[in-house]
Amino acid sequence: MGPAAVTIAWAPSREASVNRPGGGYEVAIGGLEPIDVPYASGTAAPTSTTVTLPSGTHAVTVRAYGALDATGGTTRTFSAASQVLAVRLK
Amino acid sequence: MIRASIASLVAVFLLIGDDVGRLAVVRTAAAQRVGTGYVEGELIVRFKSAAAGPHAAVAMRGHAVVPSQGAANWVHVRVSPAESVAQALATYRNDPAVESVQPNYIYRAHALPNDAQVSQLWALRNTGQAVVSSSYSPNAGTAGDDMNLERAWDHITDCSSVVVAVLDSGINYNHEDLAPNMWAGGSAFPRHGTDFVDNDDDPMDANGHGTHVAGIIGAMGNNGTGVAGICWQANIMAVRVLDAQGFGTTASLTQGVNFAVGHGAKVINMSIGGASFDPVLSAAIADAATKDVAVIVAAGNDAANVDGGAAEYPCAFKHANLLCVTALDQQYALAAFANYGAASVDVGAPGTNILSSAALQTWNITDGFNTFGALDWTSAGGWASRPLSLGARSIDVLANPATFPSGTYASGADQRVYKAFMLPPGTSATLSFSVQHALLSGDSLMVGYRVGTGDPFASGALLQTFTGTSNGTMGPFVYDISACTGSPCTVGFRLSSGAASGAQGVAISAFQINVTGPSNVSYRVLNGTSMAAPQASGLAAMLRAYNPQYTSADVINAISASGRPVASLAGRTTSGRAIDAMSSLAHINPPTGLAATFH
Repeated sequence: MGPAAVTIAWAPSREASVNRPGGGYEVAIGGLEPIDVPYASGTAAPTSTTVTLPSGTHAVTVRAYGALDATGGTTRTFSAASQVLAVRLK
Repeated sequence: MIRASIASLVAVFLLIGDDVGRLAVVRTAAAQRVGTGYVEGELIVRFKSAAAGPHAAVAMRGHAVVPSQGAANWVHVRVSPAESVAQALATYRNDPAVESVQPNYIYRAHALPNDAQVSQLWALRNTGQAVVSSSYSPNAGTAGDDMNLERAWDHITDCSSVVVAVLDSGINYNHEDLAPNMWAGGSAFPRHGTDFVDNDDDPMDANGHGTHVAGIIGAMGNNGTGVAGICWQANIMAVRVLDAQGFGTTASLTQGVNFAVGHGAKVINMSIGGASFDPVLSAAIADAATKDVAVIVAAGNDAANVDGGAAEYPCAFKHANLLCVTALDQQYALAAFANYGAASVDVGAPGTNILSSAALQTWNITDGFNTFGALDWTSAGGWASRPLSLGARSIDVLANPATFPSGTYASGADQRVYKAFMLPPGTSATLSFSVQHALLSGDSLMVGYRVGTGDPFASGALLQTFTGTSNGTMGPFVYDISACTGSPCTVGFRLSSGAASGAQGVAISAFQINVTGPSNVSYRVLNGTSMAAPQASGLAAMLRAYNPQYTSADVINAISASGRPVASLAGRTTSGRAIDAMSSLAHINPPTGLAATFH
C-alpha cells in the first residue's frame, strides 16, 4: 500500500487563548515538518488536520499553543505534547 | 455519510491552508507586540520602494490610505468593508512590490488601577515598598516578588461572570470598595448572601475577617478609592459561617458550602481551619466537586507541618477540587506563622502586611488628665494630674495624693474624680488604663462608669475594686463599656480610706477608650494564611472568567502547575510554587483524545 490520507483529530482545548487569534495547534509527525493548525475564526480552533503519510509507523503528537506568554507578551506559549498516537500504514 | 464527513474535513483544511493560515504566520512573525487582536479592516503595508507608488497600489485594490506620519515606504491601509483582513492580506502578499503586510495590531498600556492605596498592595506589584501600618516584620520587600498581576490585568480584570463565595465571618456588603462587586441574590437574598450563624439572610460582618478576605479577591479596582482586588470587577457571595469572635461549626460550614454550590458559586474561599477530620464537611466538599466547584482553603497559622501531626482541616483533605494555600512574606520567604506540608499544602501566596477592606473602624480616645498641667477632671479634692517618671520617660498620671509617689493619701477619705467623654456610635466600646497602687488594708480604689454625665459612683456601674499593693505599674486593665456608645460616658475613680494613714496611694496612667463600629470606608493591614487563600481564589475566578470552558480541575491545575518556583516552598508544598497570575493565564494543557481516521 502506498501513501494514504489520514485525518488526525483531537479533543478541543478549553483554554481561551488557544481558541482565539494567535492560538491553535501544532501537529508533529515523526520525521516530517510540523503542521500548523491555527485558529481561523468562530468559537474554536480547528481540531483536526488531514495529511498524506507514507507506509510505515508514524508517531504523532499534538501541542496546543496560545498567544499569551507568561511575561505578558504575545509570544506563543505551547502546551506539553500530547500522548503519542502511533499511526500504522501498511 | 463517510463522504460527507470527508468533504467537511477538506473544507476546513482548505480554509486553514489559505488566507487564515497565512494570517497566522504573519502574526507569529510579529511576536514582540503587546496585547492581542488587531483593528478590523486595517493593514500596514511596507513597500520595497516608496518610488513604486504605494498610494496607487492601494487605490487599485479599492482600498484607502489612512494619513500617517510614518516612514515613506509603509502605509496605513483601510480595506473595503466587504473584505476581511485575511482576504486583504492575500491581495498584497503576492505583489512583488510589497516587502511585507500585516494587520494593524492593537497595543495598550500595562494596566494599573488608580485606587488611592494601590501602591501599598505589594502582593499585586512588589516594588520593594514598605507597607504603612505594617504589623509583620520584615516589612521590606523584594521587587518582583509578587503575583504578576500587572501583566495579567492587560488581559482581564473583570471576573464578574464567576460567582465566588466567601465562607467567613460575613462581609460588610456596604463597604465602598465591595458594594459594586457583591453577588445579586435577588428577592430571596437581598443582602448578597446568607447567614448560617444567626440563621437569617443578613451576612453582615461583625468581626472583620470576611470583609478583609473579600477585598483581596474583589475590591473594586480602578475606581480611585481604597484598594484593588485581584479582580477589579467581581461577583462575591457573602456566606456567614463564623460568628463575631471568628468561630464556626461543622453545621454552619457545611450549610455554607451547600448554599454556595446550590446558588451558582464556582469558587469557594474558606480561610478557615480546625484540627479535627470532619467527615460531614469533607462530604460537602466532595459534593462541590461533582458540581464543578473549586474550594480554596488556608493552610493555617501555627507554623506547623500539616502532614506531621499538626493536621489542619480542610487543608489536609485530599479532594481534587481543593487547593490549600500557605503564606509568603514580602521577600517570598515562608511567613513565620505559616503552616506547610509537602502532601497537603499546594501553593504559596502573599499573606503578610496585606492591606484590604475593613468592616469595622476603631476610634481611640486618650486622656492625659490635665489641661496645661491643671487637672481637668471633676474632683472634690485629693486627686491631681502630675508627671511621673517611668524609667527614662515621663508620663502624665492621675494621682492621689497629688505628691505621688512621695507622701501618703488622706485617711478617712471618700475622694472621687470623674470625667465625661462623648463616645461616637459603635457596636462596642472598651475602657483601658494602667495603675500603680499602694493601699492600706481596708482601703480601696474603685473604678466606675455611667451612661450620661455626673458622678458615676452616685449612679452607675462599678467595674473593679483594687486593694493592697501592686507590683509596680500593672495593666492595661480593659473593661467593656459598650453601653456608652453614642452617648456621653462618665468614667470615674474613687479612693476610699479608713482611719489609718501611711500608704503611698494610686497613680492611673495610659487611660484610653476605644469605640468600634461599622465602617464603609476603612482599610486595614492583616497577616495570615487567611490572607493568602483569597489571593488564589481571586486568581481562580480570573482564570475561569478568562477561560469560560474551564472546569474546577482546570482552574486548580493552572494555578498549581504554572506558579513560580520558590525556594522557600520547595519540599514544603505539593508544587513548590507561588501563584502567578500571568503564568496561569498563559497555561495550556496538552491536547487529549488523539485519534486517526484513514481515508
